[in-house]
Amino acid sequence: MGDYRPKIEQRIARQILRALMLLSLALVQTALAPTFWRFRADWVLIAVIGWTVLRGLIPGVRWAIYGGLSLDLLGVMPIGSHLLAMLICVIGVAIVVEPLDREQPLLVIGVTLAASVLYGGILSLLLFSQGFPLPWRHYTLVEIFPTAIINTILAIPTFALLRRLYKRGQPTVEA
Amino acid sequence: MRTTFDAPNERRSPTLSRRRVTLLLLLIAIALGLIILDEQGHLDGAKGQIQAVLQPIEQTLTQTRITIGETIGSVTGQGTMQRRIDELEREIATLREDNIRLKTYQNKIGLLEQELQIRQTYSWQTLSATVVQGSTDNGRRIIRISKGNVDGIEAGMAVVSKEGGSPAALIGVVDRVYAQTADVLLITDYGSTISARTAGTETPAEGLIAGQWQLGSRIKLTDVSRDIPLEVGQYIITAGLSKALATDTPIAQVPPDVPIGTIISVDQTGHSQTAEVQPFVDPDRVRNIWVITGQK
Repeated sequence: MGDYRPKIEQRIARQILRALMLLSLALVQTALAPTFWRFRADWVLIAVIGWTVLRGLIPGVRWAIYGGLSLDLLGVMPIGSHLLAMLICVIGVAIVVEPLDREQPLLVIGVTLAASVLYGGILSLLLFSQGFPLPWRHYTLVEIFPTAIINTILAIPTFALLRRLYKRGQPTVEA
Repeated sequence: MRTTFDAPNERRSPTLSRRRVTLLLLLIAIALGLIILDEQGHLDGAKGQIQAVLQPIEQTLTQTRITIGETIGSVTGQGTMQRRIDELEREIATLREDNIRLKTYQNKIGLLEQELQIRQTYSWQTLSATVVQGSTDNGRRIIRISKGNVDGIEAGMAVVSKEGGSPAALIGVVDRVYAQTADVLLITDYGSTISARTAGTETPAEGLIAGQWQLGSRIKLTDVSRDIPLEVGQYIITAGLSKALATDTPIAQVPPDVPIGTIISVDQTGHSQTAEVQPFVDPDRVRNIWVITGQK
């Protein structure tokens, strides 16, 4: 039994580190680089989706929890909104990519685009449910689609970086 | 030897086993529970405390972003010309301020009571604050400021700012207040509606300033009767009727005569008039703001 203690501590330390990393990324998203020109970029979502493509459902869910809660604490929407939207996106992405070749760059592009639209749609539904008079058609054209395109562009280098970090930092298979 | 990167393709377990489905449903239920609790205000205290801890970092990052943007702008935007433009903008802004004030005086001259009211124009009691976060959370136009409950900030208070040489102009209304921070709903947000009127006309045209960001522009003056034609170049100021009109802006207590912007185009089709308005201050570029806490 004593053999497991260091491993559990290591795991906890690793999860804390990842939570802090996603909190930092959420700070970048909300304060340092919230927009490109006029359009926002969902840095945390891009990272979470990239990680889900690389590692699968459960590691993706962990990142969704860290990233979603970080955004909820920093953002203006009710706590739980980003968490809910990210969890649904991660589940969707994990199911879609499971039978596919995860090395395909087109896969990351496709799932990021789809997940960004889904993410924007879920948050918009939550806004709508709070009584925000959402102009759906314009909102989709002016906000959701452009953001999805920006996210997709940013997903390519982000995925490459995540993959490199993953290869270097993970000598054994672990979430 | 098995490498880490081979791992995803080697995974054999189904993505959605029964145990995993239960776990995911539980997480989704927790997320929904948090949303409901926060909407009912049960998490405001905790959220406020966490934001107070993160506020210095957010503020530093936001101010850094604005500084970087300004630096890049000055490098790429020909520094000398930019300085000259700034000087001219300041001059124009001073003239605009004078113009608005004079036009407002002009309407009310001869009536002591109205003159007194004009003297009170711009005599706001204000509280200065810094922008902590220029949020674009899901496309909403909301900024977070560095003052909150403990400083006397209340929901519904008007927020003004100056940009370059612009007159002090309305940028939004306090929407939600935490212990040491507050969220300001910008006038450009689609959810923002403020009562407004034209300045400088004998009979002011009254309407509503509605945010248009999510529709692809900034702000629009709507619901203006066609009896008083709007003209390009007219100044728009607050009418101070938002509370009475019970508009969508929560508990709006915006005082009258706060400058908003200038009409840049008018649409007179339909039963009422609308006009595109260029705000005096671009809410996205402000770093310091003033909350109007009352009037002297």
